[in-house]
Amino acid sequence: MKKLLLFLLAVILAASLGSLLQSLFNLTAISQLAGPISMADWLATILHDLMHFMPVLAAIFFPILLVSLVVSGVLTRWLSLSRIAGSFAIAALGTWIALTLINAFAPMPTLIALNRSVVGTVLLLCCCGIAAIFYRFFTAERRLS
Amino acid sequence: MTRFIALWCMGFSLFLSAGATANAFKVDALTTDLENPWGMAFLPDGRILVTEKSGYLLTLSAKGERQSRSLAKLPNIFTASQGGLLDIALAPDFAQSNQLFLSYACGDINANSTCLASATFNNGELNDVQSLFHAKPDRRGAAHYGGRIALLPDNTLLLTLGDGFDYREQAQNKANHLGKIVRLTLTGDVPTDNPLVNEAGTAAEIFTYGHRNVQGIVYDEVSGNIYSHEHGPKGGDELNLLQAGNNYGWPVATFGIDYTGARVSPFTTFAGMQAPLHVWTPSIAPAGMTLYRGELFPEWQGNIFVSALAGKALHRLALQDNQVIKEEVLLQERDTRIRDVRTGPDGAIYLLTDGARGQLLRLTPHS
Repeated sequence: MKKLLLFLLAVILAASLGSLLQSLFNLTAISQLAGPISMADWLATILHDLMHFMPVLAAIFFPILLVSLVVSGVLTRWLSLSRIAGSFAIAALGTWIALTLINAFAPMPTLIALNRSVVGTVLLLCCCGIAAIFYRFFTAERRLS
Repeated sequence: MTRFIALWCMGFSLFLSAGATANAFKVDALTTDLENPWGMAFLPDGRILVTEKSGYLLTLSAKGERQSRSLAKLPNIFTASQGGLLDIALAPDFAQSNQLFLSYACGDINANSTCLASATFNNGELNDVQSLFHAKPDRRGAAHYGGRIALLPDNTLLLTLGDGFDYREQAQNKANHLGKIVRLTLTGDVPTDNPLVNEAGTAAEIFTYGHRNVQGIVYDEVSGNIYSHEHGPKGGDELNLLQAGNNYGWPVATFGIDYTGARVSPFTTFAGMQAPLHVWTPSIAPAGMTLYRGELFPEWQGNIFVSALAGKALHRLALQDNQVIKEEVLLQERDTRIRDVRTGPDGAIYLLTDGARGQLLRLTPHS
């Protein structure tokens, strides 16, 4: 039960980070076209994205994190790798594969706006990577290496 | 109280004059085996040319009987997803020259764009194909090509373009063609009176900018107005009154949000950017447009008809002083995506339904 709760928290963490980054990137792009954006608009956009975009991102990240945590759990044991580094890397790789598949099958070239740039994509991968570390850290029995 | 009654009477009379006409027409399916039809044009002898996205050009009799179907051999045509053969328009002197214009996606999946070509049409075949315009820069993916053509009375044409989906911020960059409507001469050159032609660092072909994906444009000979509509993202489809050189806002000013729910911009309007005449939220996915000046439906004179893909309907908009005063949604019962709508030379309204088994429909009065 604790692991399930931590897993769900990890998904929400990844999606919330992704949502915040999406707001940051979108509004930065708009401000480059339209000039400074008021704090009220920043906050309203962040809130909007947390309410409307974050759940979508959570639905995308849920299976990615589930599979990547299982895979990283097995691989890090077999190969005696660092659980933190291994979990981060495999979650990031899993996210990249999933985004590539989504974009290949979605009607639009790139579903998630943040995924349009290399920097944005790397940051999205990091969101899942950080969530994987979060899960490993709080489920570990102080055996982190 | 008197003022209220007078206003109510005025509003009611406008409603009546706008012509609420449900069931005032019949729908005939003239052709039922079109493969992803996209655009159509009427020949002077009444025959109908229909483009199919896969690259074929069909010639149909006025009754919809198929006379020919030939592959349009357009330079570097790219057929994938939203790309392929798009719109068709006859040259003003078609009766003498047999010249027509075709818009299409060109390139490959990694580098493609919207292109315009001219050709001569003889016996169902295209000849003398000449490339007139290639929107720059090329982009990755296969989405948002725009592609509608409108001929203007000064022997120029407007070609609508899209932002390429992934490049929405470029709609505000006047140095390129992404998210623009361009105005060209009939030979593909830049008219010397284009609005930004003397502005350094801009693409001289630009007529208007700040568009997302424009798939409907019409020039009204009576008023001289040019209307366009464009797909918003999730919500925020727009009807616009085009004026040379104006900025139509995308992606800074929009009523839509991303498909994922993320906000594109905090602004629905913005200083220096033209607000739309009408907005559709949720999106109807407008894909074709005509402004009715035919004789079969006198009550629809000057109305704009918009065909909708996601909305699966035909929208009739009554305008007064460039304000939409009434909207009627027609053909919802058919539950069919409608790709294009045109006024025929006989005054009937012609529709192309979308999909692998697209239809050519004709609307005429019941009587």
